[in-house]
Amino acid sequence: MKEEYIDVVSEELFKNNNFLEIEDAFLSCSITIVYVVREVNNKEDVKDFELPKSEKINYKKAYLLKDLNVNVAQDVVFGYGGDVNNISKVLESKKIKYLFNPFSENLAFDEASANLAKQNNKRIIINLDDYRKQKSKAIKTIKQSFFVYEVCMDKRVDFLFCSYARKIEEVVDPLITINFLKEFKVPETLSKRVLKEKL
Amino acid sequence: MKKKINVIKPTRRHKKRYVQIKVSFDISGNSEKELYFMFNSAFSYLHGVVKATLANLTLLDVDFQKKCLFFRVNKDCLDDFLGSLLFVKDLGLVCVVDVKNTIKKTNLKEKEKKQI
Repeated sequence: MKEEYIDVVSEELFKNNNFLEIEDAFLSCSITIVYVVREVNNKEDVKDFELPKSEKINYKKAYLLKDLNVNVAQDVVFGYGGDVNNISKVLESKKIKYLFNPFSENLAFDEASANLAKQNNKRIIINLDDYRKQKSKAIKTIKQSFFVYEVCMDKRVDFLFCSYARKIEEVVDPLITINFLKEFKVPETLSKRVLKEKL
Repeated sequence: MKKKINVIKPTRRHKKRYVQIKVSFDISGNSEKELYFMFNSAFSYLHGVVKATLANLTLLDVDFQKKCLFFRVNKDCLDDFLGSLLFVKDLGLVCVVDVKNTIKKTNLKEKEKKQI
């Protein structure tokens, strides 16, 4: 049976590229559920947006809160991490279920954060594009990844890896993701399960 | 007197895997050498030069029309090679189409015969 995976992409992907090409890219990577994310920087950004219609791929809405004080009454809302304050805010929040990007300049996601995430049933979303940035930033992310994944696996915190693509070429084949995660000692069975589990 | 034939020692041959990769950008402007270099540099970026050498990565064939590339890699380094595809640049979306155990299953040899 063919495997079916999920991915999280930016809303910008559909503004900049041809829809048929995007769909082709997802199908060639066996991605059948796609969460289209709108970034929310202030209250004005919280507007309903249209999803592309397709028979082959199931598109769903999601919001990424860069300003954590804005309220969004939607099912899938990510809270942007990036530093210690934001990470603890998201993990303690009752409205936000998902923590997007647990990495920062210095290690911000520790064992206590993992415990809190498990207690409050949070899921951690990791953007694979962080590894492809400038070498100095990528090295920091890789270094923190070893610790974050180990802690998450130890405390049984759910996570998800996504491409957060803004262009077609930024979409990542899940088979590549699964093999890349082996570098961080994430077992194949776990990464496969994680990449299939809906939000 | 006839010389005794020496017993053949067990070889140090490594098992291989054959990987078919599809890219989204047009590659007709690139030579095979350039394409090989793109994948090899992505591999050595992630794993270093020593492992890249041990992996014995070889570009067997390029289908410029279908934008497909066939690579041979040591079995021990297959996961490392697939993981390093995350860092391949300038070729657009990179997809792993297939991984085969033998060259016969990739139909590459038949293709080469036809060309001859």
